[in-house]
Amino acid sequence: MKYRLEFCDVISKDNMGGGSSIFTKQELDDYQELTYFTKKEIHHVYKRFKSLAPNPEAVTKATKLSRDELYALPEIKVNPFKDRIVRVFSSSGDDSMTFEDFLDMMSVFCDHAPLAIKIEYAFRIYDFDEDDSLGREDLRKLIDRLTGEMKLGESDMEQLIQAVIEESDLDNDDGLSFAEFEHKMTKNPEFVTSFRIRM
Amino acid sequence: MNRNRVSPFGENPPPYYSYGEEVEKFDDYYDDALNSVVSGENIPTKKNPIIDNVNDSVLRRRRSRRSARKLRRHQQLLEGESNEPDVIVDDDDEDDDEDDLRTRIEQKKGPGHWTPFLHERRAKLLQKEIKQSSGCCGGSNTNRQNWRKFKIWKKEMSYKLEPWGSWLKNVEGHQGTGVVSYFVFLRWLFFLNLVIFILMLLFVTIPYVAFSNNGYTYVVTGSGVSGMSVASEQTCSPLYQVNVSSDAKTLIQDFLQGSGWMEKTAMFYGFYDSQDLNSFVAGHYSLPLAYLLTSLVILLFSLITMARYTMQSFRENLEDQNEKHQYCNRVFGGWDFALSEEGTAVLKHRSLYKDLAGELAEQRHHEARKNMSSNDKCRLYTIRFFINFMVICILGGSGYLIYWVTDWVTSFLADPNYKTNNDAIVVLLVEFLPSLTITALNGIVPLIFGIVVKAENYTPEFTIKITLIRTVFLRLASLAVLIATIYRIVSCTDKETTCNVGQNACDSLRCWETYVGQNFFKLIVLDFLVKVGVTLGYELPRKILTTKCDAAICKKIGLAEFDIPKNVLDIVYTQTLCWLGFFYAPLIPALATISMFVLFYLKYLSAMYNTNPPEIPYKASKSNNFFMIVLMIAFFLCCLPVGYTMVKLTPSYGCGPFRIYSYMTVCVDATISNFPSWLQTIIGIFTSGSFIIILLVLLSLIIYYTSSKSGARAKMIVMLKEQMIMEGKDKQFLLNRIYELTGEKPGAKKKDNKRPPSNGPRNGPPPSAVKTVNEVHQNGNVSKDNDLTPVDDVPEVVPYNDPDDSTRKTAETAFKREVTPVDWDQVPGDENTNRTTSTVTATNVAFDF
Repeated sequence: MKYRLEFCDVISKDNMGGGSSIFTKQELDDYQELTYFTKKEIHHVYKRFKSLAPNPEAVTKATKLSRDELYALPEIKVNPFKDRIVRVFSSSGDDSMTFEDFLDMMSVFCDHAPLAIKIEYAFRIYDFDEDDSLGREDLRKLIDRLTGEMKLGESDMEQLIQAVIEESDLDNDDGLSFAEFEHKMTKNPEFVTSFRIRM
Repeated sequence: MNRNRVSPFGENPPPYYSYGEEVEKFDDYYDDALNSVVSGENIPTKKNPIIDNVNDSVLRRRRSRRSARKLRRHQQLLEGESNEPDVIVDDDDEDDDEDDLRTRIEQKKGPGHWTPFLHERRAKLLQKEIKQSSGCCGGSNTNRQNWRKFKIWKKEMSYKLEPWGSWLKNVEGHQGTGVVSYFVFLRWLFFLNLVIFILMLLFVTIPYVAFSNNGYTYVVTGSGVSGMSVASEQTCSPLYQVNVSSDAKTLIQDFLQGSGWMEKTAMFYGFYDSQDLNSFVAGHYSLPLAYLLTSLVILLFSLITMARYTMQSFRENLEDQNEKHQYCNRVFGGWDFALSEEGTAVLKHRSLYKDLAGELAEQRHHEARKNMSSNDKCRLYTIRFFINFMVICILGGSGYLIYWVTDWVTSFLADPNYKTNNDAIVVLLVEFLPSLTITALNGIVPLIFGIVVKAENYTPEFTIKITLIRTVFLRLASLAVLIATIYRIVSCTDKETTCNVGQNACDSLRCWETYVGQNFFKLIVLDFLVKVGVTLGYELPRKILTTKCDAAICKKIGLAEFDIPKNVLDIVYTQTLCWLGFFYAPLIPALATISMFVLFYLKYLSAMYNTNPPEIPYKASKSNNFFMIVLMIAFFLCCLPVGYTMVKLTPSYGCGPFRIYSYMTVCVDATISNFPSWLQTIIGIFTSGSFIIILLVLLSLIIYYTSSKSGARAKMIVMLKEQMIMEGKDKQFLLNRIYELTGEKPGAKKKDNKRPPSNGPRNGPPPSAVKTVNEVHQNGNVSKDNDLTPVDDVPEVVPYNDPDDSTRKTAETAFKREVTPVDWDQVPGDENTNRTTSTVTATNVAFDF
């Protein structure tokens, strides 16, 4: 309900022409070009960004939201990979996000982002140790986070990791490189529907 | 951060010093291979660029000290611009290190190829724009800008026109993507029905209501057409009368069952006339022709939209049936990023856990099941046989019940005094009895199927499938029985000659098309009422019970689950009724549209407040295909009776737009007979048997051609996959060679699971051990290695393809798979090589490898 109201707010603002007060025209055009959003959606993203801050009125584009503030976004809050998402999209590398980072994140997760982009970011999110390969440890962490409080038994876990690697590892290096991950994900019709946050 | 592409060699880098090129080539190679897998083109004849380039790439590449994060900043602005080779090297990158080859080669997009952050992309965009604006081509620029604006506008419009977008978002956050796919499907069906309704309204109902008629002119009678008689129409039409009661209760009753006053409304077939209408355009509008063509267009339109909707996802699934993805898909696509409710997230965790654990247990038990003792096997198969037999019996019994009830009801209603003899409620009940029977069976029998399937001990996935298939069978079979029963009544042979109305044992139906329409009308109404009833009368009380009552038993009942397959089958069923009924009751699509519309909100209510997400992870795409296939089967089932009616059955003489024809298709003959004779000849040729046969032969040839082509492509896919695996091995081999020569253990990576974090190359040779080309050149220190051809003189620029490169040859041979001479595991020298010799070895590799 809350978001819908905000959305209406944005619409009315947009209609009155007041929406451009936050961004310059140039900025909006650029954002539109560089993300998968329309102008209106960019405003909407901005509203959401603002709403996360403890003091929404003081928010500007340059404001950095800390990790804990970002966790207030409902989709992030329940996400088992929230720390990774925040890390991957934070341009300063300290888990905080400026509006541009936030916009980038929402753009990757939006409906209209192409599969290739989604796969790339998924790979980076799942790559916990950031060694550009999904090794056994990464998979273990990934599965642990998926199942939440219930943990798979050790033998189950080993079996599962082995099965995943067997399915996907083409070059026998005991882990998934990006190419292998991409190859698998393009064949996964579920992925594109599950890896998204609707605006 | 430096964007000027400065190489450590100063302004003019040596030509071979190309930072991104090999990766780029590798990219292209990979792309080509993958593309040709998809498009089925020939295997790329290019040589493997890794092997070609590995000699001049390996040691010249610079290992970067930058972390993965920092590397990103040097990447191409946007994805899709990667074909512009980026030769970016940092100033601060000293010559001391080499690129992490393994990482870069292994990945299509190395760490350096990640999409940069938004503000970096923007900075680049700004730079580009400045460049562009200073350029000459102003005209094309504005054109392009306009085009861009138009595209953006189009995009915005399409977003705006997406109805119920925010509703879907809410559902997604609450229930996950599986349930949303149901809503998307529902929305799609809503629009399909809306279009069908609008077509019917525009071309049949509105013209008939709005235009005055010209009587039976040549437009409808044609000239010299057989099977056309206006005379019998004139005697029979007045005989078709409907009793319109003024009693309020009966009026409502008539509304629900489509009889009485409803029977003579635009809703039903009998309302329309076969006269020529006085339209604005040409002064003539042949209603029979319009009715027939609109119906055909609707069927065709439904088929095309369905095919489009199905094929989009179907292709994906078909592409790769042989390969196994089950675990990968579960693990990497398992979490639903759209979830936003804490409770749902907990449920999702639980569901994922159950799914994974279940699948693993299943895999383990699979072997056990294979080794089951023959005794157990025998028992299991006996049980399965009996249950299947039982299912068939249940289906047969249901069919017979529907047949018997419909038959009985028709004979009950055939008694002219049934209304006076019986109470109104009884009449209503009897009228609705066939529909009630079908709806009740649809509700109860699937429950039985759900129970008996447990004894059959199938895999969980197959259990869902077989239960669904049985349910679908029941639904379609019950409709088929209904159609068959109606057909028996309609095609009853004992008919009076003047008006072709049944007599004696046959039921006297003055307008049998309307009778058929009424049956489907009642089914749709009842189906709708049941759906409303289940949501409000079953799910809602259960919700109230769970939330308001604190007793343990109430908690145990819990919320109902959102049963996606059942719900989807429900709407497929409604759609089937719509397709079956629209020809006999042209405004049934309106009912279906309303039904879908209301259902959307009802189900929204149920999804948001009354139910929990399904526990079994629901594979939206796969099941969608299944439902679309069911929809397709239902569609063809619907086409059969409608088509048969058009071509083979004699329409009622007393009602409907085809009352003057002996067959409905005669109206087409009548229209053609009014065409000029040359056109008639052409049409005659195109509709003649010989032409149709030629067409059929042609079509079968095309089918044969495409199927053999797809077979060839399937083979190609297998080949390419093998090739990909071989390439992976090549790479592995080459890397091992490199590490052997540079003095690092190739197996180190496998043993060492805990790799250092990203700030630093993962597994390359240590910086000190490797020298840059410059240094090597200065040293000129070249030694021999027993594997490699000695090179005396150090070339300034290493040739791109070294013809004497033994390693490359070996690798290429392996690549071509003529022989496999290389033992991949036995790469010599990893133990013996030490750090002190590695410098020398490195130089050697630089020239010989």
